[in-house]
Amino acid sequence: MVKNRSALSLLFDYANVLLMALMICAMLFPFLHMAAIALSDPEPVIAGEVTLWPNGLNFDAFSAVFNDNRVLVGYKNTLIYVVLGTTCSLLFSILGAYPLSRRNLVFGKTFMMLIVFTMLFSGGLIPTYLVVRSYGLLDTIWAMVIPGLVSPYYLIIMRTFFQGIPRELEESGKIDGLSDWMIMLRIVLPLSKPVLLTIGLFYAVGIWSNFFSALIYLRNEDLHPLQVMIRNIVMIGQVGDMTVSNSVGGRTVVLESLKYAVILVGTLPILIVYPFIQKHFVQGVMIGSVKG
Amino acid sequence: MNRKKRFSLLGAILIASMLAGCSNNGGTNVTETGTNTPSASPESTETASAPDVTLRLLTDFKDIYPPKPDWAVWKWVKEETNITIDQETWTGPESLALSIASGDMPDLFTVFPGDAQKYGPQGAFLDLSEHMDKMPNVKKFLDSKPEVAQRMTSPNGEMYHLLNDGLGAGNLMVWFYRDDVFAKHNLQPPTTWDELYETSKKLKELYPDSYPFTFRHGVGTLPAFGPQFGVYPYMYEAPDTGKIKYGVTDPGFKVMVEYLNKFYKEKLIPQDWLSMDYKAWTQQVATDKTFMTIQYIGQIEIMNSQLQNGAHLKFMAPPLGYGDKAYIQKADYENYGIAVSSKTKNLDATLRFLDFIYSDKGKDILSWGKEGETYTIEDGKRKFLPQYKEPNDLRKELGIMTSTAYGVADFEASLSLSNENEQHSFTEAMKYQFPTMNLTPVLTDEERSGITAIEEQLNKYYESSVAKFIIGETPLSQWDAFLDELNKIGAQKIIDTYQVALDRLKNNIK
Amino acid sequence: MNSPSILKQLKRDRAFILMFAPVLLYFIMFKYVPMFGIVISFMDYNLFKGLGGSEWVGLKYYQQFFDNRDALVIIKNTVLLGLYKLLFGFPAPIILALLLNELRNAVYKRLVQTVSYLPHFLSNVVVASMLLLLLSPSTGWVNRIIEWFGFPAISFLQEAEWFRTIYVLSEIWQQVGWGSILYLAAITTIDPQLYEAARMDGAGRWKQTLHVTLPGIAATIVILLILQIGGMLEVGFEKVFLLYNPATYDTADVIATYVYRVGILQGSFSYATAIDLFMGVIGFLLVYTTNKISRRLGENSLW
Repeated sequence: MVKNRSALSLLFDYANVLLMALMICAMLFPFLHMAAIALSDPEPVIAGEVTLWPNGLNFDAFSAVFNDNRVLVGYKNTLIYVVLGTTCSLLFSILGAYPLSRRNLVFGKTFMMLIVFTMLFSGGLIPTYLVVRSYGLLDTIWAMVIPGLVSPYYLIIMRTFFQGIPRELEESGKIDGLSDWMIMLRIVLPLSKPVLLTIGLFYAVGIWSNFFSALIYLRNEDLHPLQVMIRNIVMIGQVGDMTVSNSVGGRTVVLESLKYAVILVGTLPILIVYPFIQKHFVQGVMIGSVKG
Repeated sequence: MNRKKRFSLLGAILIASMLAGCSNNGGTNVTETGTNTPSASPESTETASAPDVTLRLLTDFKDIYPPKPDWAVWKWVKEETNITIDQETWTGPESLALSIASGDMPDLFTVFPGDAQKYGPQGAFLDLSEHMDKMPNVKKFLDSKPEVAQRMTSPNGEMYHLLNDGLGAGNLMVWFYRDDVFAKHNLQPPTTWDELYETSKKLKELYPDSYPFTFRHGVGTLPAFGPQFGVYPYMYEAPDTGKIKYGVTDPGFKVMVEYLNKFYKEKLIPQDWLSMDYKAWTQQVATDKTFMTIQYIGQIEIMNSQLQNGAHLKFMAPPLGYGDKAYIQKADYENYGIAVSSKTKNLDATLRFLDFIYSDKGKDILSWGKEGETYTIEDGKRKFLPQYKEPNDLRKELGIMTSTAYGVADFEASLSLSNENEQHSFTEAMKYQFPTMNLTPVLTDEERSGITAIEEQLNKYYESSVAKFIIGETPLSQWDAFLDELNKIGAQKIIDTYQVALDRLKNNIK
Repeated sequence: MNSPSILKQLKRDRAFILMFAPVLLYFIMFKYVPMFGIVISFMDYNLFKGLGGSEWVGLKYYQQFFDNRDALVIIKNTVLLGLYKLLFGFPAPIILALLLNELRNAVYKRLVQTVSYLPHFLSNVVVASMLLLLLSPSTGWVNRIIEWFGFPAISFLQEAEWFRTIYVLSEIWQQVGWGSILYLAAITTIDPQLYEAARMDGAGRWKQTLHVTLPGIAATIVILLILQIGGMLEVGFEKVFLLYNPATYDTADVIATYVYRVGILQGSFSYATAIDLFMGVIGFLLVYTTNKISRRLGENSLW
């Protein structure tokens, strides 16, 4: 009986590994394809002969991207927005989510309703713009931080996690004479590391890929994040039949290659954040505290 | 995860603004090409004494020639008019809307005619018709090009924008073919759609995995085929009657759909013609997968520059499908205009700027630049300095012929950088333009809101039905039912509305 | 109720109210103040003159929407697309998280996790162009595989009956890895003692998953489900727009694309706002109902 079960279990393991391998292939495909196109010679790209492996080896597209001054400025700006924005957003989300996680908070239901309501109704583009403008945020770095400061969605998720923290821990804090603020700082937040990291990642990625606020609120190109440039380049290929190539040092770079090089350059840095966060995803962070 | 992108309309709106170039954008209907610009012209004279003014300008953004503050065109404008242009760019039509809504409007805007007709009557833009006395050169231009003047005039005679002119030829959609392949197999370019079919059959035998004939705008390409069958598949002024006609109901259009159905069935056109993107089209052209196609005229040389091993594309006269003469769309008009904020504090300078860019001198400087600086004269002919190799170099490096950096452009300047094959294409293409444009006359707000809903339904039904006829999902025996349904939706009401607008337009001209 | 008076509660919760105050202020300043804009759905909004100078038109735009003979089809398409996305798209990340949790090799697990969320970073424009590439009847891989098995090629993007499948599958492909992150985070908060206890009771992996892991992340599942049901009808505009064509209008035309087409014809912010408001009301009803049901069932709830 026991043996039988472990055979089944082993079979499941193999199937699972295989399934995940298939998934890896499906998920990696577009990135390999983009990399292959970005690194190939122009001719095979135009002929559509490149799928997953570069045909020829050609760094023109990447050198075109890195020689573009806007890329470096964009990187710098994006970095500022991500660091500043993620910090502020996370802070405000905690301040919003923790009180709401208390089951008997006064006006708690009303506050929740108010927040859920904003997920479903919005004034629309123009009123939002006018309001943001009237606060004097246009053409400042805060335009990238404040209008989207708290996502109701993430706030609610965070609240759900806070609710999952055993009440007894807070009670024990109370007995130790800690104030409500101290309980949050000393007990709740340390226990919530996985969710804080996760929501932090969500905010960071959201800000990293946010081109829309920049287009609307930032007219000064010196403040533009990387994504605006990426967007512009991706859209030419999609939108118009304008030109196929950009000239770089007398050599032709196919728009297709340039486009994918830009996307890769603009995406890779944020991709490597997750693996760092992942190592905190160890089962059972709760255990020490509950016992101790 | 729920990625809430309430605002991701942007991409699509950008697309729409590009498509606006090839769809009806609420212009007026025009019947005749204009005469050449007359020689003598009242030049703006007050340059030296003119006050030094800075004007804010909001233009569209083009990544292939991103605006630079040190573009020479603005320097020349400054030299000639003492006006400094401070250029800002928008990223989509929202930017225009936001700028208007915020009240913080620049002095000058680059606009599409539709925007001008929408926001002008709301009060955002100045009615320029009232200021013609200050702009003698603009007036002269309008008098010389009544058909352009018509397109920029609102139903009650207001003029909320000035349209650019001179570079429309680039909007032409033309046929072209692989002359090297044709020569190799001793084929002649087809002159009729029957020959097109026969030639495609032969090519399909020679290259079994090819689709000899390709086009890439899906159902949106049909307006380009129409003139070979004597119609546009939409509402337009019929050349013979001068009345608004709905080309879809014309027998010529049915013949066209029958042809396309036959081409599709026999795999002479790509089986995914409805979903092909530009990339797919380029690949087909670049890899001996197709030999005849229809596209914007500039694409011939763009593709030629990328083709390998002696492959070459050449202009082809439109083949006749139905009726007595084959045409291409009449499309050599421009769809960009310039509007002035109704709140401008620099009215005089703004009008002076407009007058300058429409003057002969302005046209010359803003198209060619200055001798020694941008061109030299050889054998009495102007020649751009060698660093300018293609028309886009002028835009990218100097700002020549970019939005609102010209009123009337001298196409010769741009053409002088084209190779022989391209010059040939332009000369030939001009011969085949349909007598009228594929445009509807400008409506009043009331008229427009009266038909908007029906028009959308009509277009949707037309597009999906025709697509299904061509791919054989609906048999052609259902054609009459299709026509009945168009009537039921209310095609006649739309025709009538446009007829009223057209009559009004013709009355205004008299 | 024998709960203490409001004043007493306020006093008790003063620290929490203080914490929440800046957040409330944010929501009022940046979400509720702009919400006055909703009134333009009852107006012919004049961009230049603003709200004061615009004319009231009552329900004109709502009526215009329902007068459209295609309104029902468009609503049906939107609902079905949203429903399928929920039906297949919602469980997918949960299943992935559970499967990942069962992977024994830690390195492999992290690799899979990292790779699985890559597609989330692709813009719809890129995803659409990849789909075009993969699904092309002449050169696409999918069709080459189909042909290899001896079946004729399918013009996937040109056949209305394929549209929903393609849309939903590509959504899952884009979002499954990303969505699983939350569940993985939730799994980490489960007390390992529970697993131990289950093992002592002789529960195998399947039983442990069923009786420990799933209940452990149930709260997250329920909350996300409620929220996603509320957003069900928000079918992303961009992707549909990039993937549809006249031959697939029958299944692919949704409210967002319709509003877009009418918007192009008449450039109306009022119209778009009216439809937005209408969708918001439906979304709110959905959230409210689901929340109520969830509470009845004794599960987690939003309020």
